[in-house]
Amino acid sequence: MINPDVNDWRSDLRMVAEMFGKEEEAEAYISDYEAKAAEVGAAIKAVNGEQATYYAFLAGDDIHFLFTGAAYGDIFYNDMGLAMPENLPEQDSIELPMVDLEALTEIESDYILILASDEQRAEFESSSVFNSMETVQNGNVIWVSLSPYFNQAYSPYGKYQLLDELQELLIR
Amino acid sequence: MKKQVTEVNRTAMVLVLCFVGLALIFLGIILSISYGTREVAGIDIIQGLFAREKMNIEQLIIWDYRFPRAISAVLIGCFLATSGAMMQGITRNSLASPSIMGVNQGAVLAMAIYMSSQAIPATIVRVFFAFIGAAISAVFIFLLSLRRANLDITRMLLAGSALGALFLSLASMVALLTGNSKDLAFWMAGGFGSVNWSTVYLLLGASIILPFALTLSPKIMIVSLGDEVAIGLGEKPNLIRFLAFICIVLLSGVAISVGGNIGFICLIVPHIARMGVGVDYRYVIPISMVFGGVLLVFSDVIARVIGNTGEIPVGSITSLIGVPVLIYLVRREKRT
Amino acid sequence: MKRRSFQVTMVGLILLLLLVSTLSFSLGTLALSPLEILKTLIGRGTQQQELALFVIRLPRILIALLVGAALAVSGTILQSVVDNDLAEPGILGINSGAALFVVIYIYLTNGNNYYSMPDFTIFTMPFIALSGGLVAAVLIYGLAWKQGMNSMRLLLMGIAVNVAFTSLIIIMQLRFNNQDFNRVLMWTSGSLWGTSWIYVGVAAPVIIALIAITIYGSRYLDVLRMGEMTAIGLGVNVLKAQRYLIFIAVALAAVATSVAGNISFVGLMAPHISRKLVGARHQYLTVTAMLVGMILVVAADMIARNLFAPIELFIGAVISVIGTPYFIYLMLKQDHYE
Repeated sequence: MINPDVNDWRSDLRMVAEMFGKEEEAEAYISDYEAKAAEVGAAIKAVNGEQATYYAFLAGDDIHFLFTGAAYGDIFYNDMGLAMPENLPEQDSIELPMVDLEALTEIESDYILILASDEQRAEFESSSVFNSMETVQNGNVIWVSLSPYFNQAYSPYGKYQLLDELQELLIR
Repeated sequence: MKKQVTEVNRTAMVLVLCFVGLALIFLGIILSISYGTREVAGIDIIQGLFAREKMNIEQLIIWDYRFPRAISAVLIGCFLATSGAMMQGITRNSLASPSIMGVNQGAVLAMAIYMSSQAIPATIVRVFFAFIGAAISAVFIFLLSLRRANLDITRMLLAGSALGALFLSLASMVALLTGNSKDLAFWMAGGFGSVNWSTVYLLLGASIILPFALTLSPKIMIVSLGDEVAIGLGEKPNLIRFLAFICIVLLSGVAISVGGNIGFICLIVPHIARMGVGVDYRYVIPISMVFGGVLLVFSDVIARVIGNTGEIPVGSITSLIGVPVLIYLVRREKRT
Repeated sequence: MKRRSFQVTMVGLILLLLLVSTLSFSLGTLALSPLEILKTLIGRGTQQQELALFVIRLPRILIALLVGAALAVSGTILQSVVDNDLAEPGILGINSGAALFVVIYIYLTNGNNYYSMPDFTIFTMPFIALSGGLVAAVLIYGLAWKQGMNSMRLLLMGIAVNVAFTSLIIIMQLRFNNQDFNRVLMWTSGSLWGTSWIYVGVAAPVIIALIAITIYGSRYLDVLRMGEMTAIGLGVNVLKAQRYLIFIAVALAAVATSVAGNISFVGLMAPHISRKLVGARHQYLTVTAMLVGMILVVAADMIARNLFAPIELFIGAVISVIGTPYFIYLMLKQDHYE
């Protein structure tokens, strides 16, 4: 389902730790993070329900990039244990799956996290197609600005910081 | 008597061709609307073509997403082809075209600067920037191509491509520096992603230039026969050139500001038009208008089909079609 | 040009090169003074300085030197063989051809993962690039042939083919690596980002060998530049010499492109500037052009890295800012002799 090679930040972190001789700290950081992620995931599921599905994407002009396996995908599905929408396209290489607006309307999910610039957000919100999506009508779309949220989800330090924020954002 | 008959025949043929072209445009729009990532049933397609109060999501996709895109493709193709045809008429050379000559790239650079400056996001301002960019580079190239008061085609091509490449480099640099590269990337390669009904209205508004271009076309034909001929017939070639220049830059500017850098339509379509109806610009320009729309709407469909909807920018498809044509034309050119 | 003045010019250029290289070594996120550079070189710098110097900057500057030399010599050869001062591998589309083949090769062997290319891929890259360059060269030559060869037509065909290959590169990159438009720019506008010792190891022997061969064959270039008739009269097998030399020019440009992407205009400006400095005798011209090319690329890379730090510009774009006006100026000047 999700390719473990695609986003192996843990082994990258371990490699860097080895270069500086701080393997123990790295392991501690990783287990700290995993524990916290599970905690946050449980808290979210307690409020929104066990079966609630989530996905995140990066808004573009024509094409949008889904975080299936990398970054947010990794955090949501692997670390926090949240449920993935059934028909979310798979990610089989280092790049994010690309979809256009039509394909987005086909993915059924309870919650959507969207990383977008102000202009893109305005464009989405003025699109009748977007507004007729169920998730949008239920008010379960969470808008997040590109900076720093894009890079943050990729770095070990960033991910840790992100957990608290995600808890706030995703509990509605 | 015989000559008159040939005239009538020719006009009839052109009219027929125009109708064929319009039919093809109609077909192209249908194809464009029918193809997309989400499967839309035929009935929804038809219902989606008419604005109504309550539409389900699939009809909305047709109406608000695919339809504007198809119409924009037609109009942009039309604008690009017309500007190319006019340029070829006034320079008397079949290789002249805004994309080869760096005019389009000048518009791209201006747009990049505009998009990065986060200035007032009014569409009119956008178009104005593109227009200024196109105008400046056109003047530049024109001056560089002059050689003893004649337009040297080799110079025009060399200077045009060099400057065009430079403008694109600068545009990428601007995008990079202002952190816009992802957005700018797809837009620069040419595409109709962020098109909606207001852009269509903009394009429809800009199409006022088209009738003007049509009335200018007999004059352009006369200019294309030579300056002495034109003056002899009582026309002012430089005035005509100037008016045509305004049209060209306006049309290119609008087309680029909406569709990004889509090249070669302005080169290929007038050429094909000339193959069909000869060098009379009274006919070449209208035919180019119609078939420009045809070519671009079909290229867009091809780009989306091959590229799995949006992965291949339409500008790349037009480049691939255009380069062989360009090569063929350069080889045929006697003066190179 | 007298031997003495040539030697003076050489010394001047080498000094300039050393100056520019030292500047390039010292500028960057971690600033290194010349003294610190020396200290680090002997092994007495801090860990940070060693990282900056040995892992990041030294290979990068070496590649810059190699690429600059290769492109400059390639341009020198092409200008003489084609007998047109506007010829150069970037404009003629040879670089794009090489880049396209490399891009396809990387995709086929590595998927989209640029970060851990196996050594085998890197070692075979120059050969793939060479085939791409040759395909481009043959294509351009064939298309430009119309009852004889006209150098202007060659140039125009080169431009057309360049557009074609570049479009294909854009399609390939956007289709298969779409979040990263920087990848596209890296190949079409050139970049020395991310070079490492392995690239130096791959490119250096090839480039050095080819340049040596070129310098050794300087007389052929001299003779060819005098015109076909003269060359034949002097007993040179013109066709064979032309093909041989074009092959070397393409190889140099291709290898340079395979490690640095498409950098145009170096092969145009370096021979020109050198001709003004030392005259047209290829024994001197080739070496001078090589040095000028090195200086150009190292300087441009330094600017690209540091001008808008931390954002890195693309070196090809930086060079084209000077190169394009230079090209146009040359083009305008050319007509005086026609």
